[in-house]
Amino acid sequence: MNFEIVKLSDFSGEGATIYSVILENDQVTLLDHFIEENENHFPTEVKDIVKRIRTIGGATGARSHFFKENEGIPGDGVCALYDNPDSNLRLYCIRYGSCAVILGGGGPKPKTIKALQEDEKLTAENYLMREVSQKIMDAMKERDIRWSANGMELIGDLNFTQDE
Amino acid sequence: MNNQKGARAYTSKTIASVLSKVSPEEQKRTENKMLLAAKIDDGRKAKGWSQTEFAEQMAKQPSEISKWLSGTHNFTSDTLWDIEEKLGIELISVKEKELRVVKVVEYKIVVSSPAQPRYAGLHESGISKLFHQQPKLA
Repeated sequence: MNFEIVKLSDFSGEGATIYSVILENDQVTLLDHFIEENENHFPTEVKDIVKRIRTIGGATGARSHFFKENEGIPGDGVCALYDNPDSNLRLYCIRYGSCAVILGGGGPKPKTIKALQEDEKLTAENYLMREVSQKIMDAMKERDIRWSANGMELIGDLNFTQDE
Repeated sequence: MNNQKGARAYTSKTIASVLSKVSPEEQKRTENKMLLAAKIDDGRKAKGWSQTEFAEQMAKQPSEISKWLSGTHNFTSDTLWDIEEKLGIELISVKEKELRVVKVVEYKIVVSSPAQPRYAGLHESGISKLFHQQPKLA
């Protein structure tokens, strides 16, 4: 899987740097797709998610209690922005301490399922973020990318291609 | 590889469109909720309690505590006072010195000329005036 990590200027600030992912042959981020897919059916929830992301980036930082943790494999940082049991949407992301978040995609949470594996769309979005996380960890090990001195920014080549 | 570049800065019409629908007041409310949750979580950590222990202290389910700390919850003042008591932190300030008590005192001044009988009354004389005054607080 080839992809690029981009910094979302509208959300990044003193609290945290907010990133998202653009897949190969695509022009927009996973977050853009999430918004486009859901803003007609769940406009209030999409707006609420956007407000919370802006607050995380601009003020509070990505504190763990704003997220539903352990949505991936141990240690990969894959989580979801907190969603109430009665809410309709789930947004997956990768959290790096309180300083940085990579926003992925997500989708509606069907009320009838208990585990994400029961929903095809959520499963795909979740496993996509697991793969992104793994590629980033590999690039960190290879020292192709690293964290900036203040721990807020990813530094290095953030275009991930298959041959790397 | 190891170049010094960071990620490419990205903006989109989709994100800008949603942000344009968020009023400053709405954004502020969300920020306040999240800052309040952060303050409560800092208080919990200062006590050395896990979220589960905090739930036990508050006689709540852990899922309720997760909701409190998510930054999405609308607290009642009773709940905030209970949290203040348990964590020993200040979340709502209602100290007496910060209250501004305003008294409204009404004065009636009747001005009458010798030609007009005093018993004409306020309405008949047409020259009654009411003054509202805020006395200085001690």
